[in-house]
Parts: sequence; structure tokens; C-alpha cells
Amino acid sequence: MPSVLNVDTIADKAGTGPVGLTKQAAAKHFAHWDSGATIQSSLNASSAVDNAVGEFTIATTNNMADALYVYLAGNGSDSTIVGSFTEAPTRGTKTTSGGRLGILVHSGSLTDNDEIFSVFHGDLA
Amino acid sequence: MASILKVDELRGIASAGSITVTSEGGAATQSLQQGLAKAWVSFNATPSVGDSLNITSLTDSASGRPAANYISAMANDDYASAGMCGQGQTTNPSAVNFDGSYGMQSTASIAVVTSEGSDSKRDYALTTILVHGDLA
Repeated sequence: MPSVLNVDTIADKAGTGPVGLTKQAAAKHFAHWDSGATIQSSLNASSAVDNAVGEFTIATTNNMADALYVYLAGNGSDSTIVGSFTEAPTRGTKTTSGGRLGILVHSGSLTDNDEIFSVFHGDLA
Repeated sequence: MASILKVDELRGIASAGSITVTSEGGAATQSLQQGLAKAWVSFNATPSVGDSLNITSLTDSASGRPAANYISAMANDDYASAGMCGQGQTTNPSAVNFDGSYGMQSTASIAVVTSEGSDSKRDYALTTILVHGDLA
């Protein structure tokens, strides 16, 4: 018979630290925002800022432990701009509270796109 | 000595789908469920699935236009996604974008465009997609 544990919060034995999930890790941030920098859905995201054409900064609510975390990003368009890339976050310094990204078409020009995504994996502060 | 709890399933008490975990640094707490990837898949140019989570099948609409279909539906189409594609010998940059003309993201599937430097759509030896958000 499967065992089911009902619990609201999981912490380590001391009650203040994290628990290890065997050979698994949870993302510490994700966000989906539009070309107007309006966030559609998120985990641990405080704001998206439209810095310039094709450049956005996504900020976290709770800081990452350091700036060495993995920053994944994507983008898409309702009108299908084929071949747009997401530079993450070469348009600025990645910090413990987020980072700036650029969206480029194949020619190298910056462009806004309808939907932009980010995912962070690493340690929270 | 480290304590290990062995259990097959975790559920929240106040809400079955919500359990809070403490951060690595101890400065914050965060939802365990929201941090877990809800789907991921790697596939080849056929397209044929290499490995996956929560993916039942792939749809090949046209060259460079694959879609992945979920086993368990997402709660809405606002979720966050990321992807990459590559071909060992290509010298052109490759990109995965999310494809509006084929429905882009829905609660049931995610459609993408894979393309290379000339802006032409093509299938790649390896494409990966990662989905984060809420399951239904």
C-alpha cells in the first residue's frame, strides 16, 4: 500500500534548513511575460522591466544565493518571428536578484517578441 | 546522523497541492510544487522521443514545426518554457521559438519552430523543451 505524508512545510531536522530531494531539484524561479513586460505567470518573480527594444530585465522576489545559477530563457510570437534567439543574460550582469536578456533575430538585430520566458535553477539565499 | 523519511507521496494539509520548502540559505521559503518541472522532452529529427516527463506523443506538423502533447494538462496557457536545438555539424545558429501559428502553448500541448541562420525551418538531431508552471 502506498504511503502518503500530509504536510504543509518541509524543513531539515533543525527546522530552519532545506531538505534534500533525492536526485531531484526544484526550479527557484520561472516567469512568462509579454512584450509590454506584463507578467502572465511566475514563481519568485517581482517584476519584468522593458529596458529597450528586445531587452528585458526579470527580477526575483527572493534572492539567489550567488550569481552562478543557471538562467534558461525562451521566446515566441503569435505572428511567428522565426529565428529569434534569447541571450540570457549577456545584455547585462546576472545578479543574485535576476538578470537582463536580449532577443535577437538571425541577423543580430534586437527585437521584441510577444512572449518571453525565464527559468532559474540553483540555490536560493 | 541524517534522518531519511521514506514515503511514496507527499500532499499538503491545507491544500493538497501546496507544500512549502525552506531555501538552501534559510532566508526564504518557496512552494515545492511550483518549483518542479511539469514537462520536459528531448527528441530527434524524426521526431522520436529520447526521454521525457509528462509527454504522451509528438506531432510533426511540417519541417521545423514539432509539437509535444502532454499526458496531464497544464492549468492554463500562461506557463514558462525554454528550449534548445542543435545539429552536430551545422555552422549556423539554431533557435527554438514558440509557434503562434500552430497554437503556441496550450493546456494540452506546446508547439515550437526550430530554425537556423537563414531563418529557414528545419528539423534537428536534438531538440529539448522544458516546461514550468501549474498543472491542472
